[in-house]
Amino acid sequence: MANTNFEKYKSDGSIQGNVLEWVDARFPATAMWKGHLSEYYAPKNFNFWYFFGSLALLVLVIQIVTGIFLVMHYKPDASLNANGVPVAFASVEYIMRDVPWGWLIRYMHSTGASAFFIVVYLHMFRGLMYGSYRQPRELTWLFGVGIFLCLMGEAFFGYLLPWGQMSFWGAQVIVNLFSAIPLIGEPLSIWLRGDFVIGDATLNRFFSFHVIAFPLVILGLVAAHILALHETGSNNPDGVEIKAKKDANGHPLDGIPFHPYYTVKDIVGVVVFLMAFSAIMFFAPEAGGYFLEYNNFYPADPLKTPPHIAPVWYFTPYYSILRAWVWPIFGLDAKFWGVVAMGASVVIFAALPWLDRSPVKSIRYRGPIYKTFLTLFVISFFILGYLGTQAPSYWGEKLSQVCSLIYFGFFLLMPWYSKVDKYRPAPDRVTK
Amino acid sequence: MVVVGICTHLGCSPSSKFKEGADEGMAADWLGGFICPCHGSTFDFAGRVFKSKPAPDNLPVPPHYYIADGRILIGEDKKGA
Repeated sequence: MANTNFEKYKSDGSIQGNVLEWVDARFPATAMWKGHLSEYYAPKNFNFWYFFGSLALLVLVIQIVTGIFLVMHYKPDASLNANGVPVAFASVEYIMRDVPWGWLIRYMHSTGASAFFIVVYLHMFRGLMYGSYRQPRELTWLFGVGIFLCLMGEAFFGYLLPWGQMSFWGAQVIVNLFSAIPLIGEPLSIWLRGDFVIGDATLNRFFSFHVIAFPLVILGLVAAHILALHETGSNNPDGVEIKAKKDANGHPLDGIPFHPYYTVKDIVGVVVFLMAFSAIMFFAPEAGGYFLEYNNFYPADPLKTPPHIAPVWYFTPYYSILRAWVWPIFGLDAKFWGVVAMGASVVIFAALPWLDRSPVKSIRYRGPIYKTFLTLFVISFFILGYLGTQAPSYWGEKLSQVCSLIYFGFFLLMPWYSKVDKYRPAPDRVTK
Repeated sequence: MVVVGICTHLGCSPSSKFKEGADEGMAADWLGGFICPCHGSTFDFAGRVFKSKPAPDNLPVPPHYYIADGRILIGEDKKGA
């Protein structure tokens, strides 16, 4: 029979039932609802740390919706207006002062940028603690690393748009990092900028990357991240595979349907998150100069670098690693190796599934060596982050070198210490 | 002195610290010159970079020549004029 698709969902004769039968014969609506929500079995022992994936999705939606409204009023134009102020800078001030509710939309977007990184860092830390990157979830992890890289690009491109002093000089320094590459570096950085210095051409291409290219890639990667996760099933705080023990219906014994159990639980997380988010957005949107830097309230001036420049907080750990390398080796100068170290410090996350050789996934069953390394890694990450906000100093440099060593040690020594470390055997079923 | 005012490290604009000594927040043995605010590279009055600083090279001197005592042209170098 040609119409076998009509067998998939049988209407009970009601209007809703008839509509669903019609749709299901043409589009897998019910199948997708079941596969990803009402019959996606997630481990029953998710804790606090499992809020941050859905929160990241929420922040993504906030950024896209507020971004759409910002683009309606923002002008990517570096030329000076009749008052001698760059048009892009003036359009942001126009959004803040004249557009009805414009200040709210912009503060949602700027607070959202920092919130995105807070949520994503916590989400990644959860993965580190419970071994979520381990086999069979390597691809979920790799898509996640891809999202993280794109998010960094997205944040960087977006930061140029207000065309303030930090926008300008931050972009100048970061684009010049590419000039450290031997031979092709100089022409490459000119090609990236579209000019000899950061200018109108740079602003326009960064605008294009920020509003269309990177968001598209991020959305695609997020879809892949979730599809890959739902293919393998979620990990959990015990790091045991719930699919190994199933009931008579073929459902995992320790699994519960994502909807309604985790949709309801995640709403609690959303409420708490929105309370914190609103508190910052309404009462401290600059967050003491960490979310919006004070120097960015001056329009970009290509002739004058502000006396102290530092990246926004979420980039400072990597920026510290960049500054920590001061030795020229193999005939290439320190600047080049600093750039290599900074790049490696981000990309190295992708290697985790193959660096970890522990017989157990979760930190609950791991031994003291792993716990020590993870603790030192987190402390180093915070110290590097703090040092990145500070002006360069002698002891700051020494400390950042020690912390960079620990940072890379966590990854590069993992094949050794994860193997020799003590462990307790993981249980067959999840514990609580 | 004619040099390109773009740091050879990552392209910030070095600012002037002309006073000798610690008056302008520099070290006590500072001889005067320029400091890049981004990564702390220091240059002397001739735009030559100090050792053990991130900047790999001196500030470049662009081609230029004196049209008259009070006027220079930057971008062209007419030697022996």
